[in-house]
Amino acid sequence: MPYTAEISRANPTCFLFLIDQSESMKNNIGGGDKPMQKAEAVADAVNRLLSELSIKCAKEDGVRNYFHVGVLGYGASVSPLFEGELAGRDLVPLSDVAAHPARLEERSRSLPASVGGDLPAAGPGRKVMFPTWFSPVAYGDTPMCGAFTRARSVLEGWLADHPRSFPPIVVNITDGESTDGDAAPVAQSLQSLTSADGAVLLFNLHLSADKNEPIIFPAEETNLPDDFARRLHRMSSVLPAQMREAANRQGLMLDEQARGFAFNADISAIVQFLDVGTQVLELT
Amino acid sequence: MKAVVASFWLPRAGSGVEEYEDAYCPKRNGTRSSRRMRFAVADGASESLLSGMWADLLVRTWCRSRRLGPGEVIATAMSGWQGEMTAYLEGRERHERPIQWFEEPGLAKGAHATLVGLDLTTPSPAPGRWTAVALGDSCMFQVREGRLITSFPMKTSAEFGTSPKLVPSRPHLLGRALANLDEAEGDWCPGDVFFLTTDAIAAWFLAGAEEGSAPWSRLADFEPHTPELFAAWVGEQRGLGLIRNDDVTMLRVEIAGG
Repeated sequence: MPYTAEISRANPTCFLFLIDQSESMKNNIGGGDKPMQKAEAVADAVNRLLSELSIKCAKEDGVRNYFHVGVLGYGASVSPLFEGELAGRDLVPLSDVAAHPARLEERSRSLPASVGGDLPAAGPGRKVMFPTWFSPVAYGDTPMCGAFTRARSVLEGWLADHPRSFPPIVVNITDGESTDGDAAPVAQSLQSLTSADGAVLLFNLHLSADKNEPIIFPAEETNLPDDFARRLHRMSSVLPAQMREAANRQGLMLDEQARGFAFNADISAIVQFLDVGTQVLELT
Repeated sequence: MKAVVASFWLPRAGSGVEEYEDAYCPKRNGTRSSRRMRFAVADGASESLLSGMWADLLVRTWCRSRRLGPGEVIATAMSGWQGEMTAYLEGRERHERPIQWFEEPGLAKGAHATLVGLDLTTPSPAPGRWTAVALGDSCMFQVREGRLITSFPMKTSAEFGTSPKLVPSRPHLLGRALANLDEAEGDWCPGDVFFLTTDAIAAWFLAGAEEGSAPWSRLADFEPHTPELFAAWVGEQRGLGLIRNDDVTMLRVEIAGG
């Protein structure tokens, strides 16, 4: 059965985020308490996810490499987005991600002493570290075909080294149509890559500045508003069972054919989408 | 009372022995003789930091503190944990490995583990009595004359999920831990066999019992001096999808004289 491979340090999986950096990503996104650019909301959500993955996989001997992670931006060019020590790298083992954030900002967290935990420094006003690996950029077109082609080349190499892995997960985050051609055949070519456990998963997250209700993980395309939405839906993989179950635990009640696709996503839909789309590791 | 103890353990497939986060006590196999004996198995939660160390402290505290009840054992372990944490943090500083940003949230949350403990006594007059305590899905099974007569705290294989109840290391959560504690008691006879196991084997054990396949017979066959046979069997069961790929631990206690 596909999408059942054990994820371990010996057999990791990978997440590759593709982030649209086109000019329109400067527009504000819906759903926040205060105005926020789409580019900023996406960078915030993905940086936060990288931080959460590092914390989740941290053990006393270091961060365990259950995942390799990459972030590619596409706008003026298609290129890796990691800054600092990791600059220029496509896919990075999670322990390296954790060890080399580009910035580590210290913020105060107001916790009562009673829930401070085992750290001696715990208590009210305790400092908490907020890492970031890349900054928001909004400049250029939407070369989605170029991004999928680059993703294919990166994952082809990775799969040659990890043939039995849980298949790589590609999360494409965009607010518009491809400007360098029809992305569908390139997406299909990306999804034709396989490990012994199944085909590469491609999830598409479409962002919106308007106030329309987000459509998240639809099975059918009948309720989608236009051809663009339907094309993105067709390019999106069906969610494996464990992700569907994670979504259902959040009360979404998804159809078996639900796809990794969201349309008109606002800030909370981005967070929910990334959470469900990366639920592959069961730690008990 | 005399009891023959045998312990078996294995990390999850794909992980090294240093990643094993279950714990058991006593560590030494062989025949023991006493009017009162304690045994325990614990399963450190994978998503916690230092959970293997916490699981180990819990089983050691249960076995060493034979006069203490379950709540006092957990409270004692919690206060002991503060000392172990201080020593751990000092050790990290000494080795110039300061706590990293990605460890802080986990350390702040504290360590977590399931626990099952068994206490055997020999009152006069006979029969012998046992009491057991559990928090979470590590289990104790009692087998007499080839029949399963006690399954504690889980009764069916369907009860196992991915979010068991856990013993936390943080003292202010003691009340909540005690509220989740399960306790049971019963009699033992010479010849009885007790199995204390973490969840992966426990779920397999109960599924087998439900099918009438007497899984205790299989577990009775293993010898502690041939752990490779146990490892090969677990590997085979994992391959067949019958035992979940997780750390496994089994402590077998046979009351002599049956």
